[in-house]
Amino acid sequence: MNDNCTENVCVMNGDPIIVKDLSLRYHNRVAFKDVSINLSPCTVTALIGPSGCGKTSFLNCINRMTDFVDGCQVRGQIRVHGENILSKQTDVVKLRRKIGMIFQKPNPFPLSIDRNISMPLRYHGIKDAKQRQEIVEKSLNEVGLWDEVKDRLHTQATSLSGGQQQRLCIARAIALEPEILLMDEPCSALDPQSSATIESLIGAMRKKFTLIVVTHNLAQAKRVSDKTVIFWNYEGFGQIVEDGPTDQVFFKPSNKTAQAYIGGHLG
Amino acid sequence: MLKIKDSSLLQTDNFVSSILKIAASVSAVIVILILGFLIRETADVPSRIGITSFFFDKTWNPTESQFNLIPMLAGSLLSTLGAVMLAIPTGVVCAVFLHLYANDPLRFILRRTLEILGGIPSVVYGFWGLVVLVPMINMWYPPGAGLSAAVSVLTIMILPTASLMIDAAFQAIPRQAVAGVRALGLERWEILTLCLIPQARLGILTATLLSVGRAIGETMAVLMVCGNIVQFPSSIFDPIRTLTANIALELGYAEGNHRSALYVSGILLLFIIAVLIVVISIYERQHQRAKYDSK
Repeated sequence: MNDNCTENVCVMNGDPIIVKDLSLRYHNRVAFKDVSINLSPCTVTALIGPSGCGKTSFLNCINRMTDFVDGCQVRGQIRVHGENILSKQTDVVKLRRKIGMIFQKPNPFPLSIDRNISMPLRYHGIKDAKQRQEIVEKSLNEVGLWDEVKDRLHTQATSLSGGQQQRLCIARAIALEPEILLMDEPCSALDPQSSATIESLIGAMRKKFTLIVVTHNLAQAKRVSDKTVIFWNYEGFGQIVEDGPTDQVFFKPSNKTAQAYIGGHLG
Repeated sequence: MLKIKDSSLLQTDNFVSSILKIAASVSAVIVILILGFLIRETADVPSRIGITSFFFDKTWNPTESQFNLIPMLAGSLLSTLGAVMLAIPTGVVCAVFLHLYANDPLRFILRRTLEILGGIPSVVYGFWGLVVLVPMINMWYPPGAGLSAAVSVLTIMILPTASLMIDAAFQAIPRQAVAGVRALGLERWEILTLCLIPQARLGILTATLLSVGRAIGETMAVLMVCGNIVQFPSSIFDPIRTLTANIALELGYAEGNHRSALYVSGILLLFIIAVLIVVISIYERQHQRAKYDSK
């Protein structure tokens, strides 16, 4: 997509995200239980599996969006740079700046394209308007949107197409220079062409960020990811049945359920 | 073997649709009848009194054929404007508090309280204004009854409903829009400015215009506290009379041209409300179109 991404060195410093005995429940319903996994830095990890097996809930734990869900209890540890982000002392606001999130449906603010990116920057303490403008341009460039919108930066973001809106949301997230980018089915509300654009963008961003992508689309997982994790619903709650390099998960899965799922016989 | 009649569903649908059509037409017919009645009562006014009299006569003194409605129109508009300008910002603050700052039990209690306040008959607010507010203002700025008392009572009266409407507009915003702000590491103030206010703009405008409609139409509460002197107020403590109060005060004994003049003020009120409704619907349509374009 753009050279900017590939030149950059990953900001994660080689530390993996260590998830240990993570369990999540909504009131009395267990979403997933005792999930332990290491998520490699500077790679694209795809989380796949059927609906209701806890993929999105798992993703929401990583930037503590679970804090806002009524009756949601999270147990266990998620260590980023060695620190348990689930502990009470974590500054969640700072955490969410470091861990960006892209949603299923594009959710730009009902403001101008420019303000969608520059306002969060301003709130995060970048007072210099010129510097903000540079970051806006750089971020829009990274998602390949700059040339499409540079003449109408002050029009409503909601007037963009769905795919452009989603790229704007990605630009908005990476403008804050996060280390990790969580994507919750980022293409499922988009047409095939826009999906392809987002997919190639994910490929371009893999060197710079640690990307964790939830998807329902097996082919997409195979195309974009370096590592794949399969969630499955056993005995009423989600757990990981297979994880590893994407090639291995897709061509030589060890688990029987994973084999059937990849082969298209299940799920 | 399953037997399916192929006409029955369509018949039921036609039946339901005709009932709904009748119900919908009844309300439209009532409005047209009221308008027809007002027009019939005032049809010969242009020839008997003349349109310009209502705007250029020296004063309102119907027994002496003086029919200037402007001071009362000003009274209605000024009291409404003042009340809406106070109530809407306060309503936004209330709704923001409810939505972002109050915890669940407090939010529940506040919402129920607002609903109860919104249900209190306006005459009760007027009564409170008369026995509490007017004497209080009278201590500093006699006579007490006047524009300021009318604005205060109207503000208190429209505030609960305005808050609830704005609160409802905030509640209608998809959770994901708010989550989008939070995911950027931003908190309540930013949620307010980036998401709630821009998303609920239409809701806030609708609440404003409906409040205007309610305030301008209010009769009893205003009549009890506004002093009822026909004059163009020179300060906010001057007594005023509103169009609605005027109709209520004088219709009982008005005859001939006097009576017709009161009907004219009725048409004037209807006209103001109609303009408001047209403004709302134009704005809503533009808003919808903007939304549709983005798809």
